[in-house]
Amino acid sequence: MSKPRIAFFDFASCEGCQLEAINFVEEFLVLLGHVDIVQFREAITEAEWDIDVSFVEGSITREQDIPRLEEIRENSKVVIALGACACTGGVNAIKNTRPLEDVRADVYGDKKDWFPTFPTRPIDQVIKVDGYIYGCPIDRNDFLKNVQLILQGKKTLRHNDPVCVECRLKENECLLTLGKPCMGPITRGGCGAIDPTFGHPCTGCRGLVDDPNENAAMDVLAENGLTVEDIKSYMTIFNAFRPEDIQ
Amino acid sequence: MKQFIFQKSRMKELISYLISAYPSVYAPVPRGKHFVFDKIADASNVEFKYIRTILPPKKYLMPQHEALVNFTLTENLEFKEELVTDRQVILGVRPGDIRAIKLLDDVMMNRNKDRNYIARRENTVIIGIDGIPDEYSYEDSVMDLKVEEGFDLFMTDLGNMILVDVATEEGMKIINSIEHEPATERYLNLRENILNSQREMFTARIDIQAKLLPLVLEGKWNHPIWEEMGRKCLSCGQCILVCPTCYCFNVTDDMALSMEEGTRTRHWDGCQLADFTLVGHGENFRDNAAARIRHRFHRKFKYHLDVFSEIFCTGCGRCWETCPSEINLVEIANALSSEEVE
Ligand code: SF4
Ligand code: SF4
Ligand code: SF4
Repeated sequence: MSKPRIAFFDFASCEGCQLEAINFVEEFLVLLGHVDIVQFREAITEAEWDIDVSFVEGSITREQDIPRLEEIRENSKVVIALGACACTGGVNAIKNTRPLEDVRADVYGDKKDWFPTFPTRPIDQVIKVDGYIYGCPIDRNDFLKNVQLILQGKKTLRHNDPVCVECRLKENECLLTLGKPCMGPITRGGCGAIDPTFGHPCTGCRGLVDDPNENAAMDVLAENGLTVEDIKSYMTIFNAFRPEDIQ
Repeated sequence: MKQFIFQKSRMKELISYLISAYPSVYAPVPRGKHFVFDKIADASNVEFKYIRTILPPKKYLMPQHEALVNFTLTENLEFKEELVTDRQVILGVRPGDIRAIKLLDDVMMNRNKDRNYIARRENTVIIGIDGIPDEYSYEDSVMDLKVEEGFDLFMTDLGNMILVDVATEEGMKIINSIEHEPATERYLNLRENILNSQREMFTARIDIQAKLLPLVLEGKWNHPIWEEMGRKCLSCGQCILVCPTCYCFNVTDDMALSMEEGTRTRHWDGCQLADFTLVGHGENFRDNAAARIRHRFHRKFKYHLDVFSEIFCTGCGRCWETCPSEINLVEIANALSSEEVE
């Protein structure tokens, strides 16, 4: 039986997740003979368009991204969103909270017309996605576990249990009980509650759970001393994208 | 049950004996502003003057993540069961947590025969200690602070002396490791006074007798309190994860990277998490926080009473202290018992 052929692609992102992922794949899966990497960054040749699993990093911010992403979809049996930018729009979607003109002027100054962009969207707003590997950056164990599932033809992990679950099971002191902010209660878990474990508030990088009680979460943040502005930043740092942004 | 007293200054000696005689001794130690049960290597950071630990001592009878079976994907699937049978001592357990372990025994050893729980439980020595409440505690509303069973030793701090109830032979053996003498009437009376003053200290109270709550719950299925609490609840699951009487779990099969062997593991799980009732085809039969809170309240104060004749809440206050929205069962109980809805 031939080994599954996997590929990596990136759009608007820092490429951090992809580098992490490729390291993990090479270190663990290629060595064990489970997969072959057929594509990473360089232009793809016709012959290589025979991909079992494509991992796509980055969010979609420009017109020319769309046909490229569609081509990846057409030529891959399975497409996985890799990392926060691809899954939720990530930090790139912060720009959706302001007028596009202002954002472009801030970034490109008087050259803003040279670089047309549109509101940031996660990749599943453009193509059908078969699974998600959340996080900024992705978590090694979570990535490897998900790849195992994908290779077995199963779904990726839902991670609809919030960060609090792993945090409580590790018996961390809850930051909220110490009067500090935390987005853990409404953020997807699977990261091992890494931030609260080191005393840092969760900022929601893995995206919000399926049915987040955002109003109650904002009340809790307010009770923990955050101003309206601060609360807005907590809620939007990784989770600014709203489907309305692109209608 | 026999009662003895020993000098508090001998406590270190007692702890040293335990550490030398048992592979694992767990006791409350500080973690930041909170406390946790942890394995101790000496008596130095054991703190008996704690109110509650973040997680209950249940974690030594039914760990958060517990390997049940290892399997190998050979031609004939091979299984190897994981049973832990090392002797262990849990030292410094509060009355509420002793009662909680009794309730878990009812569920995991008596009504069901959970092999892993039984293996751990039968190898566990429990040494209790009395303590005071804080604003989140309400043991006094749901149980008798004076526990009579479910421990090997129970210590009451009388100041310079410790009064100890000895319930088992193993407990006697442990007490024999230090100098002690039979407790006279005077000390037993002193303990009653201490218990009475502890009972006075509770500020959180359920207004009616808690065992009447099943009656109060009749006709309250659509009471507005459920929606009110549901609006505040984040469904973060903290309340059920810290609870000493919750025992629900999920089971996962995880493959090693070799893809040749794997482990079946059970993980704590529970009814306040949205996915707990998610079943095949995406149906979720408790898909909102109000229904989940109503369920949790019924589990604590009605369903288990029907089956075990016991309230499955010890009033430890863990869920209340940890809830980001300060949702607590006392407020719900009092709202239900005070007003009627048209
Ligand atoms: S520190 Fe954050 S993630 Fe951890 S339990 Fe508290 S709210 Fe949840
Ligand atoms: S701890 Fe509070 S907010 Fe979290 S699930 Fe329980 S009741 Fe809801
Ligand atoms: S329901 Fe809350 S107060 Fe009652 S035993 Fe559980 S954690 Fe403690």
